[in-house]
Formats: sequence, structure tokens, C-alpha cells
Amino acid sequence: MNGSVTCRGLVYIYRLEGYDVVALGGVDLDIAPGESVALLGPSGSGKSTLLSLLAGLIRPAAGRATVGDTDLAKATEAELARMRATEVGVVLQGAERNLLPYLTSEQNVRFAQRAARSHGVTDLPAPRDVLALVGLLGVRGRLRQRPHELTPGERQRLALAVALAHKPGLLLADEPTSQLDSVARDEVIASLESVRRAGTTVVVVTHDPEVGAGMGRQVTIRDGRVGGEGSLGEEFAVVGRDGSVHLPPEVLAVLPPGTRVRAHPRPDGTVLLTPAHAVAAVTPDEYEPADDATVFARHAAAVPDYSREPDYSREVA
Amino acid sequence: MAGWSVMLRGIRHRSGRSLVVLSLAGFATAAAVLAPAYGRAAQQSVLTDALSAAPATAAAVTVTAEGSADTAEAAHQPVGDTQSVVAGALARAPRLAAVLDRPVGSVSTDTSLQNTRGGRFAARLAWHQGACEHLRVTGDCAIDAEQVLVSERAAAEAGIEVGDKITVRPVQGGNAGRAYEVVGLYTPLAPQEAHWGNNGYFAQGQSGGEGAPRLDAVFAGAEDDVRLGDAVPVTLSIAYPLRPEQVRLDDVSALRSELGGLGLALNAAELQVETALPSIVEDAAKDQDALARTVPIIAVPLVLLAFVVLLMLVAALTEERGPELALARLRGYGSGGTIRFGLGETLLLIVLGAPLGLAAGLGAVELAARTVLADGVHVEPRWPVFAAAVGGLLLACAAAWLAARATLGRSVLGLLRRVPQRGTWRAGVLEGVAAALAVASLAAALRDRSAPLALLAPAALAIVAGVLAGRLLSLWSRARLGLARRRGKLPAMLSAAQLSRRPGAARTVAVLTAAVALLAFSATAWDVAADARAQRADDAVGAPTVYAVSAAHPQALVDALAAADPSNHSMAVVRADELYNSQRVELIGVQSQRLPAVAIWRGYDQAGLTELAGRLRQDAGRPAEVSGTLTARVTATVGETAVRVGALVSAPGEPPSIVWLGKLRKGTRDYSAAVPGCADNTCRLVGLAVGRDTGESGPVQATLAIEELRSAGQPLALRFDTAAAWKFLVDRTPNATVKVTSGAHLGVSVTSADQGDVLISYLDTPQELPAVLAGAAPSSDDPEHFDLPGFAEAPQSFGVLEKAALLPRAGEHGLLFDLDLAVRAASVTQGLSDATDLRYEVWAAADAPADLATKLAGQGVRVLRTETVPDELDRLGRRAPALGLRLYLLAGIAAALLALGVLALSTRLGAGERRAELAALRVTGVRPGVLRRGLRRERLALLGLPILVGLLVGVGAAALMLPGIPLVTVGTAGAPGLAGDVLGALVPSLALDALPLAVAGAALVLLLAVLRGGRLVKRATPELIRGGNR
Repeated sequence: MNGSVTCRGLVYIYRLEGYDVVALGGVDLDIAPGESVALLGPSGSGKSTLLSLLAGLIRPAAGRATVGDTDLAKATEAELARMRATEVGVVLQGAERNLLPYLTSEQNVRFAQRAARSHGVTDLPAPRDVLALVGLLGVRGRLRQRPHELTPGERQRLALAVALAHKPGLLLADEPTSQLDSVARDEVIASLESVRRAGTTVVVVTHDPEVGAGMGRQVTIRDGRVGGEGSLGEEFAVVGRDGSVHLPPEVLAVLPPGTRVRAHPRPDGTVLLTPAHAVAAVTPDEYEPADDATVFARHAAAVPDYSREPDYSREVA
Repeated sequence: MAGWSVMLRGIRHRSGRSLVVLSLAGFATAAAVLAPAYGRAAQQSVLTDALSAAPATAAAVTVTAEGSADTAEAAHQPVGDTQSVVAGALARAPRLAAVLDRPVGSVSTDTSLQNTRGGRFAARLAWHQGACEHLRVTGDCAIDAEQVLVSERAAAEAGIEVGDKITVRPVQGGNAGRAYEVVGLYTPLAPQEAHWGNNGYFAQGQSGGEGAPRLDAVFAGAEDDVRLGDAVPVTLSIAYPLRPEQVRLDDVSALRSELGGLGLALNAAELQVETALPSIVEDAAKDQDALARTVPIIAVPLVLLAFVVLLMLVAALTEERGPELALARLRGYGSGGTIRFGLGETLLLIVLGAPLGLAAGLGAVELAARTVLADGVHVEPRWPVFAAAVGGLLLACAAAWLAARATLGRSVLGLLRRVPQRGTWRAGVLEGVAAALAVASLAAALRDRSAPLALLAPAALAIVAGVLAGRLLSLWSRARLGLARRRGKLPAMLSAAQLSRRPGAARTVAVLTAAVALLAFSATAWDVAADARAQRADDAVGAPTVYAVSAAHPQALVDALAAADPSNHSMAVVRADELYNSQRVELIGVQSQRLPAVAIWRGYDQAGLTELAGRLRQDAGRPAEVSGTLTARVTATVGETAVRVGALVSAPGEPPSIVWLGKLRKGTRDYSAAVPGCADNTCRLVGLAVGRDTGESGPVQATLAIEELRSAGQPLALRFDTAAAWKFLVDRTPNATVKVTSGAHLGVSVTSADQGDVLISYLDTPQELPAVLAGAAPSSDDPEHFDLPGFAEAPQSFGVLEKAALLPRAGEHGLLFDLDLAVRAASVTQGLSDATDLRYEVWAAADAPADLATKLAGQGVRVLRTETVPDELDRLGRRAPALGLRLYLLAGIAAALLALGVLALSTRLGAGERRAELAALRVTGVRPGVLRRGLRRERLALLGLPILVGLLVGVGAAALMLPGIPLVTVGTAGAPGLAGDVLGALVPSLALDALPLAVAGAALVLLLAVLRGGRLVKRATPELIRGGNR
């Protein structure tokens, strides 16, 4: 139960009536045990699909994905069920969907632990400890309250607790802070941090930059691929195994899709992209990074804000 | 946390839905239990009814021995000894012994009784166990030797008083008289009760043989007093009354074999066993067989419907629990764990529902047994009932598994998806199976509607109609949707869109249609059968109340009734039957003038009966009543032999007798004689006689011109001018030459050398008795005019006034005529007191005196049996067809309730989603009024179509099936016509009957559903969807 994740050329295709939609078009991603990762990206980029793949809820069409020792492409349904019962905790979007409304907080945790126990797991934490981990135990009487009696924030933390009931190595959470106010959101972020500190790898799908910033690493998914990564306030484009690079939106504003560019490797290790229609007034050797400062100051953000949908129509125009 | 705990919490969380599943599972089990439990109880009821309805003396087991000591030694053994012998034999027949009551022993013999004044009477001398307990005794009870009791009326007849000594001599086997002291006078408390057996103790007034009047039995205090000598034949009888309520179905075959064994065992002891028990059981077996065949088939549709609804409900509930199941899978529950979690609640409820259903089913049958079935019948919880319950439970579990299988097999994301699943090919296969079953049962029905498979036809048609209605709704909604789109009518568009895209709507419509069709069929069948039973009861009884009575002769009954009921709201009826061409022809003589007020005769109303009554007596001449002195004015010429003239006079009940008026002399003279025993014009002149004077032996030769006959000074209105009224009775003097000439004076010319007197009958009635004929005429020549023995043995001419489909109380083959005319005609040749084949009845109208039976008894007419239309209806209501149809009606009502439950549930299950949809539509600007109209249109289609199709199919199936299946009694099917008969039968029953009630109920449900449809809009406010608060 080491909580590591490895994706190589991961592809997933939704087969609909009359046409197919490629949701993931070759995702390469490595997540080390104990990392906390935010999967960012616009709606429809494939974040939740990637999360579902990692949870073993759907099978990859191509590529390889492993969670711990489990090869998600080859595992049987029983093995995937075992993986979810022992190694992976999943939090679906919307706290209510993770909880049985007629069970108390403690009973919901025990319900999740039953599955683990049926797979032979014996050293399960006490429900109180699990609830304490997400900061629910300190609130009086929460142990015996049913989900509808909790506040939205508490309900979300209870959903986290249920996903952590069997002490998984990997926690996958889909939009854990949607529909929460800022106070509740901060409590959830704090809870996630507690979980990570306890040794669990945390992968969160989110639109919320605050949540993304709260994670140690941000991975941006664009058009079904890893489009960028960032950590400690910085974002980087990632060079794919096939040499492709997803440019961030602010660069795309300068270099719209279809623009022919020339790449100039520079002696200092940087690469200069020059549009083909532009006269190469500046040779690579003459380039000074300081010249870009104004551009970055205007366009770059530490972490892109995907909570608002990008206005692609304007970009295309 | 234990799975049980989660399961129970889930059940509590979904308490409403859980209760529905529990109820439905119970209902399914109850439906499964109903067939064996109700079938058994109904069969037992039929058996108990048959045994109870049979005369107690016939159903009892009677051990007899009869004869002198030489021919039947057992008859001369003490009753106690014989009882010991029988008890020993019964010990080897335990089942039989268990259903028999305490024995009643008796010894009797025919005797001639002489009172103190020397009068002789015929009477049966009897010793009967426990007689005094069943008699009202004035004086002392005869308990010692040489003590006897005589009846009050015998004492009055014979002039016997308490303390008198009477002498009794045996009729056969000796002439030694034995004297007994009369210690008391008795009146039987209930002469017809089973205690007295069929010994004929109370037969006073009947012919006693050898001309001696018969008295009621004389009861001796000691049995040895009845044995008047070894040569005197006596009858020993030990009756073991049957306790009908103790005879169980399981006992029947054992009883038959034990009766056989008992007979063999007692034959060895010269005792005979008499009982009609096997034939009564045999008769009941026909109804039982019919029930055994029909009840399971009737129950099948209900069971199927219950399981289909359970299947639908579990499918919907499992679908609703999709997110919970997804959660279980998400947490790593394996397939087994998910199934346990997903199906555990339902299965637990089904298992809990099974005993409740078993109890409910048994309770329903017990309720039916107490209210509808025969007394003493109760539900029997035997192994088939429990097997059916277990079978129902397994079937319910299988249905739950089938219903949940598709949902349980879906992936986590599939379970979380809200888009409804599409129908699969399996649904089509099930529909195909239903259609094939319908075709097969329809084919069977067309060949033989009473075949067991044919009984499935209505249910199969109902199911197919349901399937078709479901499909029709989808097609119609799609078509309406397109039309509404083009026309831009929003309410129509909304309702059509809902109905065409929701797969649940088609399923709901299918169940509703099937249920309504089943209800319509069963209600129609019940109404038609109820009408048929009412008609049969009216036909069979013939009047609101009919008393079967014993009377000395027809006139005695008429006189007694006139005294008992001066209001003329009752009618004396005399019946007989004759065989013609091996077919029974029922003859009914009625008091025509009272017929309209009393009789119930299908096809005749009051006016029709009045008109008919008038025609029945249209040509009735006045009777030639005589009393006191009879005088004839005759002009005569006489031959050498002295000849006398006489009148043939008939006293009521007695054979005609000759009253000689005097020796004929030449010329015109009056001849007179007193007519003895004919006070108050009770006698009639029925003819003339010419015979030799006393002491003469020569040939009779005379010519008479009878000018007038007078009685008590008044001339008799005789029909001298009607030749047909005067008829030479050739049998007495076959060689005589007699010429009768009609005219102003009656001319009679006689030449006879025969020994007997020459008799000329006079008929004061029409030559032909006017009659109404039902069925084929008992004549191969002329169907309108024929001769048939009437109340007398001599042929009676009948003239058919009109033909009727049936006669009241006489069925479809008989003759109905005026009683007075028939008696007058019969008494010309015979005394009707001796006519043992006449049956006497009093038919009473609803407004006849309530105590008529008592008043009749006061007039010496004993009521043997009372029949009323309600009693007959009650009896017919417990025959196999009615019991089967009752179950069908129950099934129809249950199906309708089930359908209502489905409707309520389908509305409830999707209510949240629906409100959210409506709220969303309101947000987009659709006005509430439009939504309300759309919802009402939707409800109208969802309910209106099933109700319409269901009613049409149900009534159509009834029109197809009912004419061919037994409605009243087993073996008699309805008329062979199709729709006309059924619909014709329905028209007069459009009162508070089952079908009108069902239609009214359906219309009410439709109205309520449509009116309440708009309420959903009220709660579908935009706030509902704000913040995802679904």
C-alpha cells in the first residue's frame, strides 16, 4: 500500500451512439507516495475521467496505469474491488453521494470498513480516529449524527473520512470543495493536508485555484493530456514523451493555434519560440530573458484559475 | 457494522416504500395461499351443505331388521342388544363412528286399535327411545309396561281419554289383542325432526287400509309391549343421525369403505344398513370436482399480477437505490456483497411478508367461511397451504432477483447515471409468452368454454390488452408529441413528451389495463351469474315463500288455506308428475284467481298473469254442488226388470258414490233421496246411475228423460244441452248399450245385461282442461290437444292455451292448469285421498300472513318444509359456480386495489424528480396553468386509456366466456348466445351491482387523479432547484 501512481500513454474513449469522444489522449503522469496532487483543467478536459480510471471505475482503452501494485488495465473486477477496499479511497463529487443518509457518521465509516474487512484487512483504524483525522471528532455529537444533520463542510469532511476508513495509500477526491463556502473549503483543504501528512497520497480534482494551491503539486489536464505542472506557485509546461508541449493559454494568446513557430535552443538552456511570420529581428543569441518580464507580468499566473471557464471564442477570434 | 444493522436502518429510512414491498410480498403470498385454502374450504362447504340440505333421515345411518321372529330374529331382539352389536361393528369403523350422533332405537308394528266404544282404527304401535322428550304430553309419559300415549288428535278422532283402556291387535301374524292404559295424550313438538326418522308415526288422516281411519302412532312405555308375538312382524330400527359439520373432506373415502364394511358386518347379524350418505356425497363430488378444477385457475391471474407488480416495484426501488449500490461498489464491496446489500432489504421484507401473507390469506378464507360458506366450515391450514406459501415466497424472491438483476450488474458510473434504462429483448419475450398463452386459452375457450385452460382466457386477454395498451400509449404519445409541436400547444406537448419518454408509464398502463380488464370481467361475470341465480331461485321456488305441506286431499288444503289466510295472499297448489316418452312432465294445479298475486313467473308480469288466470278458468262451468236432499224429475219408461235411478256424488277426497233416488216408474215423477255426509254444498254431482232394483237380476232396460235435478230445493245448473258433458263409463258395463241425448232434457236409453250398474259421468268442467305448456307437448299427434293422466289415473284431456319457456317451480317441461277444474275433473272417477302421488304446497306472497305455517297447522295442514327465494339464493350462492365466481370477483377487486397501489407508487417514486422538472420549466417561463393542464392531460391519458381498454376487454371477455361456463349449477352452462345474452343480462342489473360499481369506481379514480394532477405544480417552485435541493 504505497500510494504511488504511474500513467503511461493513458487513453480513454467514450463510445457514444454514432461517434467516439477521446477523453484522455495519452496521459503520462507519475505520482510519488505521500504527494498531494491537484488535477486542474477546464471542464471536459478529462480530469474526472482520469480520476475514475485511477479508481478502477473504468478501464483504459490504451496505455498503462498502475496504482501501487495494481495494473489497472489488467486487473479483474474483483482485484479492482479489492484495490478500492484496501488501497484507494475515493470521494465522489457531492458529499451526499458518498454517504448513506440513514447511517450516522460512525456507521458510515464502519460501512466502508466492512468492505476492507471482507478483503482480509484487519488493522483498520477506529472510526473515531478516522473522524479525528479530518477534524470531525472535535465537534460535539457528530459521531452519532446523520449526514443531513451536519453542515455542508462537515458533510464533505465526513465523505473524506469514509474514503479514508480503510487507511488507503491513495486518496482520490473529485471536487471536494464544490458548493462549499470559503470557511468550509479551508477546513477541507486543512483536512486534506492532514491526510497527506499522515502518509496518504492525495489526488484531488478541482476547479478551485485555492485548493490547487493547497496541494503540493498541480497537474493541469488539457484536451485529455497533461498540459502543465506546477508547484510552490510556479507552473510549467510538460514535454510529452512524443515531444509535444501544451502551451498555457496566455502563450496561446500570443501564438494562436495554427501558428508556425521556430524553436531556438539557447545556450543558457532556454528555448525561444519565434512565429514564422515574424522577421527574426532578434536572433537567439541576442535574446535577453529580461525582455519577457513585461509579457509574463501581463499574462502569467502562478496557478491558472479554472474555476471560470476560459472564453475560447475570444481566443480563437 | 453488521449487514443486518445497515439493512434494518435502510428499511426504516425507506419506511413507506418498505411497507409497500412488505404488503405486496404479503399480498403475493396471500394470493398463492388463496387457491388451496379457499378451494379446500369451498369444497368442504359444498360437502357440508349437501349433507345438511339432504333430509336428515336420508343422511342418517339406519340399521333395521323387519319381520317375524322366524324371518328376522334380530328384529325381535332387545334394542339394547342390537345397539351393542352395531357399536361393536362401528368400533371397527372409527371415521364413521366419529360423524354419527347418539343412536335412537325404535320398535314398531302395524296394529288395529279398538277404543272403549268399539271403534276400530289403524295405528302404528311403537316404542321409540326418548319419545317423551320430543312430545308435549298431557298427563303422564308412558314409561312402564302396558302404558301408552296417543296423540291429541287421535284421541279426539277416536274418542279416547286419559285413563281409558285400548285394545290393540296386530294386523298380521295373529289376532290376540292386548290392552293398554292410556296414561297421556301427546302432540309432537316437531313432527318432521330427524329424531322420529322415517317411521311415519304422524300419519293421521291418511288411508288406514281396509277402510279404517288411520290414527297417529301409539307410543308404548316398554319395547316388549310392541312385540305382540313371534309371528307378528315388527320393525326394529336404530337410527344414527349424521352430524354433517363433522364430516370432513378427508373422511369421505374412508366413510365409503367403512360403510361397506359395516353393511357386511351387520348383514351377518341379519341387520340391514340403510343410508343415502354415499349418494349425497356423490352429488357433492360434482361441485367439488368443479371447484378443484376452477379455483386454482382463477387464482393464477391474481398470483401472476401480484408477482408482476412485485417485480415492477422491486425494479423501480432497486433503480432508485442505484447511488447506494454505486457507493457499495465504490467502497470495494464485491459482487456478493453488493447483491447482499442491494437485495437484502427486499428479500428480508419478502421473507417477513410471507408469514403475514399466509396469515392474511388464511384470515380472508376464514372470513369467507364465516360469512359465505356453510356453517361449521373453517379454513384448514394443511400442508398444501404451507407449500403454496413457500412456493409463493420462492417465487417472490425469484421475482425480486429478476427485477434487481439488471441494476445490480451495472457499473458504478452506470449506477450513478440518472438516465433511465431502455427496455430489453427480454421484455418482448415475456410479452410474446403472454400473447401465446392468450391465443392458446382463447382457442381452448372457443372449443370448450368450460375447459380449465379456457378459464385462463380472460386473464390472458387482460394481460395482452395491458401490453398492447402500454405500446399504444407510447405510439399515441409520440404521434401527439409531433402534432403538438407543429401546432405549438404546450400542455399537449408536455404531456405527450412525458408519456412517450418515460418507460414506467407504459408499464403502469399495462398493469392498470390488465387489472381493470380482470375487474370488469369478474364483475360482469358476477352480475350475470347473480342475475342467473336470482332467476333460477325465482323459477325454482315459484313464489316468495313455498310451504310443502301434508294434506288429506286437494279440497282439504283449499279449505284449510281459506281459513288460515282469508286475505287471499297465498295459494294452494297441487303437483304431480307423469312420465311421457321417458321424460318427466310436471303437472301443477294452481288456484288461478290467486296466481297473479302470489306467483313469480319469469316472462309474465302482473297484468299478464291476471289475463292468463282468467283464461285458465274461462270456460269453467258452475260445479253441481249438492247437499241435503237430491231430487230428480225424470220421465221414464222401464222394461220388465225393476230399475232404479241414482246420482253419482263426489265428496271431497272420496271416490264417487251412488245415491239411489228411487225405483223408476213410468211417467214423469220426482225421485228424491238424502245425500249423507254432504253438508254445506261440499259434494258435487258427478254423474247418474241406472241399475237394477234390490233383488232384481234381469236385464236392465229403461229410457229416461231427465228434466231437472234439484238439491236442497234449488235446481242444479246442469249442462243437459252439452253432449260432451255426459259420458257413459263403459268400464263398469262393457256390454251395455247406452245412448245419451243432449237437449233441454237429458235423454238416456239403457239396455244392459251386465252385472254392474250403468254409470254416466257428468263433467262440470270444460271437456279439455286449459293449460300452459312448457317444453315439448306430451303427444306425438297434436301438440295443442292431448290426453295425459292428470290428478286421477284416468286420462285427462288438455288443451294448450299458450306455451311458456318454463313454469314456476316446475322447470322447462310441464303443464300448469287450474286446480279447481283439475280436481273436479279427477274426482269424477277417483277419490283424491287415495292419490299418493300428489304433492301439496302452499305458495305465499310476500304480504301473506307471517304466521301462515302456524295457522295452517291449526287447520290440520302440517308444514313439512319451507322454501323461500332468499334461502334458495343462499343455497345457490354456495354451489361451485358461485363460489368460483366469488373468488374471481375477489381476484378482480384485489387486482384493482393492486393497480391503485401501483399508480400511487409510480406517482410517488418519481415525484421528487418530477417536481424538479416542473420547477425547471417554471424557471424557463412556463406558466403554472400550462403545467397544470399538461399534467392533467397526462393523467387523463395514463388512466383513461387503461380504464377504457380494460373495460372493453373485460366485458368482451365476459360476452365470449359466460355463455359457455356454468353460472349457477355445475353441468348447466349459460345460453349459447354471445354478446346479446351477457349484455342483455346486464341491462336490468344496472343497479347497485358489481360492474356498475366498478365503472363508477374507475371513473371516480380517474376524476380524482385528473383533478389532483395539478397539485404537483404547486410545490414545484423555482426555490426547489436552487442549490440542488432535490
